[in-house]
Amino acid sequence: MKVKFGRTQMHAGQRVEPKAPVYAGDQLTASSHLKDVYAKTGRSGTMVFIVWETTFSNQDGLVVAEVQESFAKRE
Amino acid sequence: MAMELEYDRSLYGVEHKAGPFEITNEIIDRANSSVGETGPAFHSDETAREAGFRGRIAPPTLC
Repeated sequence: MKVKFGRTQMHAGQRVEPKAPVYAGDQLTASSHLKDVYAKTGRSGTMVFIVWETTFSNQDGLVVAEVQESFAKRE
Repeated sequence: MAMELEYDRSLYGVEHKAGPFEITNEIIDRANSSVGETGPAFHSDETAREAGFRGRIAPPTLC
């Protein structure tokens, strides 16, 4: 994911929303898409956030978890 | 303050798929240990069923 900004990138948090139980023997598939890219300026300067959303489903097509993961780029 | 960010916007709407990943008892053990999960339903089928689950469950942070 190439965003033209900054020289360093760091993980900026992950949020997991459980939707259904996950059992031993389950086969999980993941589907991720880019959710958002935005800039935020604060005291320490400007950071650009890249947000990905991933949906985890089991072998029956049931969604077991929704995950949102962010990365931050800065100078 | 609007900032024009340069990146590949064609990525919106594209789904990236991965898996299938089989969730084994070993994986559940390791996930429990990573987050310090001690709840009984995460450790044995019997106690999980008492809590209303079909069997032993994995901590969601596994995802």
